[in-house]
Amino acid sequence: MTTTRLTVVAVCSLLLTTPAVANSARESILAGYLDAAKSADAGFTAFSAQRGETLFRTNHGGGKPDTPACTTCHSETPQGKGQTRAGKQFDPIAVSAAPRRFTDLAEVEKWFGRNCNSVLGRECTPTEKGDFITFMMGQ
Amino acid sequence: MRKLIIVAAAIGAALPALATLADERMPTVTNEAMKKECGACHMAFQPQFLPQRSWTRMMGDLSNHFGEDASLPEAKRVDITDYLVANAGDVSPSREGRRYVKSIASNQAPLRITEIPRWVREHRGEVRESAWTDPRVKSKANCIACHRGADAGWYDDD
Repeated sequence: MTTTRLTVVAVCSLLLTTPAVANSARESILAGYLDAAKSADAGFTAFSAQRGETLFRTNHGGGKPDTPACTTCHSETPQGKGQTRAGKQFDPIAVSAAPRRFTDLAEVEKWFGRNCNSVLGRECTPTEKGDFITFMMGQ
Repeated sequence: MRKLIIVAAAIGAALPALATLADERMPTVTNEAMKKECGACHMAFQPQFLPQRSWTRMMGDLSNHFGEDASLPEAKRVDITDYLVANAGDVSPSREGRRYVKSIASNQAPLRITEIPRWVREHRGEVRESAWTDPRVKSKANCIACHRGADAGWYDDD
């Protein structure tokens, strides 16, 4: 590998870790959910952090018995570490505490896919996903 | 010379202990997808703990994984399943893996490592009941809470 290529790789990896790039990746994921929300409902205007918080804190109980709420694993404090039922700690869900949250669409879709099914017993709508991310961006 | 003999004798005495340690060691997990995906929620347990039939059963029903949906994109699921099956306790050269698998009845395909007879025997009388519910432990699946080297295959530190 030439020095130039190495430099390019180094600069790219550096860029990927900057908040600006992470923010723009997150905005683009959110824009995708906004488009989907609008095509489902022509009158839809904007995501709501408040609805996102309700989704996060509600005891839904519609899914699997061991995971009635998002807070079962993420804890009541989005800025704090989460703990899985198997005992492992994981990164906070709040963007202020874990700036890489919601910046990789495949990961975001994987986790919404699993966790909405575990907690709600169904898929989340694009509106719910956008509300949730919007709430966590302010946390 | 006398010193040398003493050192040699000390090494000789320590060897059997070291051999036992190495013998009970589980191989380190080398599949990156497995480390990332399984390791997101719990330690990536060494595949040698379970036989092939258990892994096939487990990886065939990830949407009902110990009370949670742990679904994976198909390509990743297949990659991880192949690794688990290729390194399962009934085909791996790991001696400790053989011990675990041999303790399981051949008509059974358990999913919980913590219900395997050898696991139960190894922990019986050694762990206080209250330790399992300690918030830092929370679950019997949290090997690393007590076995600090568990993710590198070391369990013989009790």
